[in-house]
Order: sequence, then C-alpha cells, then structure tokens
Amino acid sequence: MTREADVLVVGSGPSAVSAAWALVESGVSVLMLDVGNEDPTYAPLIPEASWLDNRRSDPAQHRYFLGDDFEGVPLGAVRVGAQLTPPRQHIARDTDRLTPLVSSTFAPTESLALGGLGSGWGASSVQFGDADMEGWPIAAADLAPHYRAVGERIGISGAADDLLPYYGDAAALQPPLQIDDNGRALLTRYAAHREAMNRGGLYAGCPRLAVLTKDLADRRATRYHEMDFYADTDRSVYRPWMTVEVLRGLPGFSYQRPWLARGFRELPDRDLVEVTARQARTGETAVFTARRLVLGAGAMGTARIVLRSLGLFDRPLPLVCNAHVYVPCVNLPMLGRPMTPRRHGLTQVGLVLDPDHDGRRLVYVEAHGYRSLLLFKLAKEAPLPVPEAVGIFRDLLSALLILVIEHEDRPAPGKTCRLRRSADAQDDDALTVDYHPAPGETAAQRDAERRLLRLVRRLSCWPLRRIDPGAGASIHYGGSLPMSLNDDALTTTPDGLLRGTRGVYLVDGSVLPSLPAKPLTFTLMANADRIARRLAAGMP
Amino acid sequence: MSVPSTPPILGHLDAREEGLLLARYLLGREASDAAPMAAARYAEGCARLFAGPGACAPDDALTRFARRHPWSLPCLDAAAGLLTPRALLRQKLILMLAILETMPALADDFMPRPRPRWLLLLGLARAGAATVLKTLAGTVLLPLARRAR
Repeated sequence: MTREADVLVVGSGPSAVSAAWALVESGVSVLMLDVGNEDPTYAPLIPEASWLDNRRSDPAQHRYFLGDDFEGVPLGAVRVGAQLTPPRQHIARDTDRLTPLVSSTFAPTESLALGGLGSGWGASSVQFGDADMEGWPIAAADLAPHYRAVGERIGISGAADDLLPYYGDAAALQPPLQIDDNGRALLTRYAAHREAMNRGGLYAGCPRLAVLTKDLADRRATRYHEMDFYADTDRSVYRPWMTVEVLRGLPGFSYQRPWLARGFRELPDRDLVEVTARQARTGETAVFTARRLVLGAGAMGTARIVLRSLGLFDRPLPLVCNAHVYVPCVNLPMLGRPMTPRRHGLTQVGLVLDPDHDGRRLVYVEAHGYRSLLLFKLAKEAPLPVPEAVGIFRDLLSALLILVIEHEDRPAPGKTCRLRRSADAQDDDALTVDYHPAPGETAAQRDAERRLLRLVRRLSCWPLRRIDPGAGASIHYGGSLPMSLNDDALTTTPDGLLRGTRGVYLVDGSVLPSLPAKPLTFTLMANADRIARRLAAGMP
Repeated sequence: MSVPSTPPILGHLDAREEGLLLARYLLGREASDAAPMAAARYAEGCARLFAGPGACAPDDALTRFARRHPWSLPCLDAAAGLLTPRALLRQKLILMLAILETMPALADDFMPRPRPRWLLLLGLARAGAATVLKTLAGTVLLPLARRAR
C-alpha cells in the first residue's frame, strides 16, 4: 500500500478531485485517501434505456426504484435527502457511524462515497460574480481562468440568454440541453412578459448544467433517458468519480480506500505532514505521510479533522448553509397536453430573482419537471384518497413544475459547529451543530419568496404549496474555516493555507466565507483548481 | 393519547390477502396477472417496514377494521389522508401503490394522461366531489374504526 506522496488529498468529492487533477497535471504526485463507498447492488441492474422503456418493460425495476429493503419508499415527512433514490443512497452510507453529528436544528447530508456529494448533485454549474463574493479575499477575476479550465474538463452545457449576467462567462459552453414542453411553455410565457418580469427582478433561461450535449473523451452526449436520479449509464452527467477513474490510470496518482482521515500532525524538524487514518471496515489505524496535505472532506468533515488535529474541542466554528424550499406549481398552459417523451430528469428552466437589480440578495430557482421520481411519492403528500390523488396527479403531471428555491447564507452568531468528545469513548467525538437563523432573516426570505411567486403566477404557473425540508436540506455547506485577509486562527489565507500550519491546505466549502444563493459546486471545483495550481507552483 | 402496542402481526398469507384488497382498491379492478406478484411483494414490504414497535393501538384497529369491512376503505383512506396522514393504513396504501407503480404490466395506469382540457377539468371536478363525500363519511367512520375491537 502506498503511504507517501508529494501531496496527500483527503476525500474524493468535487473539490478534492479538482485539486488532485490540477496537482497531477502539474507533475506533483498525489495520494488520495477516501472511504470511497459505492453502490454495488443497484447500478449493475439498471439498463441503458429510457425511463419510459424501463417502466414499461423491465421486470426488475422495483429493485432500483423501490430498493430491496423498500428504502426508496419514504413513509415519513419530506426530509433531507428525499431525492436520494435507492441507487444513490450509498452517498450517505456510514456517515452516522463514522462521522456522527448531533443537532436538533440542522439535518445535513454528508458523504463518504467515492465522488462524495457530487455522486448525486443536480449538476448546476454557475459562476459566482463579484457581488456574490462580497467580503471574500478573492474576486471573480481570480476564479475566472479556473472556471474555464474546470468547465472544459467536465463539460458544461448552456446558453447565453437573460441569465448570462447571473450565470457568468459562456465562452466554453456546449450547446444547451433540450428543454421539455413544460419548461418551454414557461419560457414562452416569460418571453411574452419579459419586460414586466425583468422590471419585477425576475430573469429566466436555459439552465447551465454539467451535462454533455456533445461527446467528451469517453463520455457521451446525453441520450435524454431521464434516469438521472438513478444511474450514470451514459456518463453524460459529470460525477467526480469519473475524474478519479481517469486519475487512477495516470502515473503519480494513487487512490487508497477505505480510509477515513482522522487527524494530521506536522513534523517539527522536517517538511512533512503525517495523517492518521482509520480503516472504515476494520477500525485499524495507519499513518500516511506527505510534504503537503490538501483537505477536501467537505465543510463539516474538514472542520472535524482540523479541530481534532489541533485538539480544539468545544471551540465554535461558523457554519453556513443555503436555505432551501420546494414549491410544486401547476403550469396552466400545459394542462391536458402530453408530456415530452424524451427528456432529461434535471433542471429544465433556471430562474433568478434579483430584487434590487444590483446582483445582491438574489433568490436562485431551478424548475424541475416531475415524472421519474414516481407518482407514489406525490400521492403520499396529498391530503386526498390515494386513488383520487393518483388520478389527479396523472392529469397534472405534464403541467407539474417543482420550483427549488435557494437563499443566500452568511455567518452569524447563531450558526456554529463544534467538535465534542464522546462521553463513553475517549478517541471518539461528534460534531455538534447549532443553527438558528435570526427571525428577520427568515422573514426576509419568506418576503422574497412571496415576491417571486407573485411573478411566477403571472407566468400562468400556479404554486400549490411550500415544502420546507428544514435547515441543512440544500446540501450546500460552507464557511467553517473561511479564507480571510486577517491573520486570525482557524481561518485560511486566500490561497487556502490553514493559518498556523506550514503545509495544510483546505480546498472545499469550509473556505468559502459566505454562500450566495447560487449553487456552490462549480465554484468549489474552480477554487480547488486555483489553490492546487498555486500550491503546485510553490512546491520546493 | 394513543397507547403503543405491537403492530399487527400478519402472517405472510394474511398480508397477501390484505395486499390483494389494497391493490383492488387502488386500481379500481383486479390486478389480474400482476396480483400474486404484487401481493407477495407487499407481504415482504410489510415485513421489512412495519415489523417492530411503532404502531399504536388505534392505528392497528383502523387497519383491522378496513380489512374486515372493505367497503369502508375509500372513506377511511380519505379521512386518514386529511386527518392522520402518517397512519399505518395510509402507509400501507402508499407501499402497495409503490409496488403497483413499478410493475411493467401496470405502468400505463400511472403514466401522465393527456386529454382535452374540458375532460380533464370534468375529471378533476369529479375527483374533488368524490373526495369531499368520502372524507365526510370517513370523518364520521374514522373515530369508530379506531376504537373498534
């Protein structure tokens, strides 16, 4: 087993693989430590066929739609990770056991999977602008070349439309994805009322997604199979494990699993850092050594490793997470019309509410169709007799749009995490999260939602109800060890170096000082690419 | 206050019969060739999801009542959907619905249904009226069923 390299990278999510890619490309040897859970059960069962074909002909479909233990039949309230179908549930496997978290106010999804949370992301790939990065020690221009490099590597489709000022540079985009009839009807109404919508601060257009519309290396353009919540059979949607797969074929890269990094120690007289890791199955401990350490274990995973390594138990760190709600709507012009047979299952239309027309305090919205997640989940939520609910949803399905609404988040005294020692086992601990947004903050979000939905109604799209799955549900976390120009403890330099260390770099959401409403994954990748290239350039 | 108790212990045979009853109600007809398979999966699902503590006595009574008096199922479902959406009876209906929906032979029973808008509105009105009537009847029946032995 390889235990040494120039740089040790912890994790295999979007940030970690982007850093590893940049390092290997720069000629630096990398050892990636990862738990690396995969789905050995369902993925091999899923045919490379469309959702419709699978529904009509695959006798084994109940296994991947419902799960062998019926884990895909959620019987409780809508909760965090509700969109995780049985083939995606490995994403959150073992986290209760290996990375325990205690909170009564915050229910996050963390991952120990190969590819991390990126194994189930919605592929939204928009760039942050200067307004989004207010208060950060870096500017949009610092990220620009890295957005481009990552975009070219993973393949992003989109269009230069009304969302261009919010989504960023469109130079390296693949052609936009086909939008289904439901999404097109919404965009047609938007075009007819564009001036009034823009006056109200609402902008709409094609989504920008890391989904191929043209072949890229061994990945194929999407076949519009609508199986995106279940499988990656055509590899059209980018997943970080694809990069790990390529890296494993390159010299200078080694992937070791199932290892959970627990802590690091810089050797006083040598330019080396040691990482202690626990074998995820046996509990055995091993030490890995490198000249530099790159932590990409997620905002909370990295916080655990840093606090444990420094012995800082009970020390609060900030934590931010986008507030996130679902609003199912009926798109009235689509009532009674047939549903597009060939479609993809991800975002069909992007919307942005810019209330003050200045790019600040945005509300970011993704409009999804609903079909591939099956009717029974909708019927469960309806206060109707089940057969009537099924009939009504069959009638409404072609017109149903689910708006996924995200709000920005900034650090505040009521939003913290801290590492606490376990009472019964001396070497174990749990991350405790207290997350209490100020009442004014929540009220402002509700106001913005009301304004958004008023405009959406004018597009003949009628909201049915608001579903709030609770804090932590957006699966966008950040801010625990933020980049800063101030020389404060438990922050990083603008280049990701953890202050107080000589060679520990952070590349994940932990370094983002705040979260704008936009999805963060593409920025995580670009920022990791930036930090890793600077690290490689400065390596002795 | 509901008293925690052991959930209904159904043998596989009982669970299959219950599954057939629920399938007939959900589809509005016999599930024909798919029925035995659906009932077997339902029995397996019940064993995985509903074995162990969690149900309460009124919940058991409601399910038992619906099994003994199939005519009451639409009304109890309607009232439970509105008043106690997490009731065991509703959960069992959702489980059977999920099973039926993922059977290729029944796929078209769950696909979007394009039709002229006037027909769609008529259908929605009918469903609305049926829901109101069933819910009214169910609201009367539900407390009785939850207390039944």
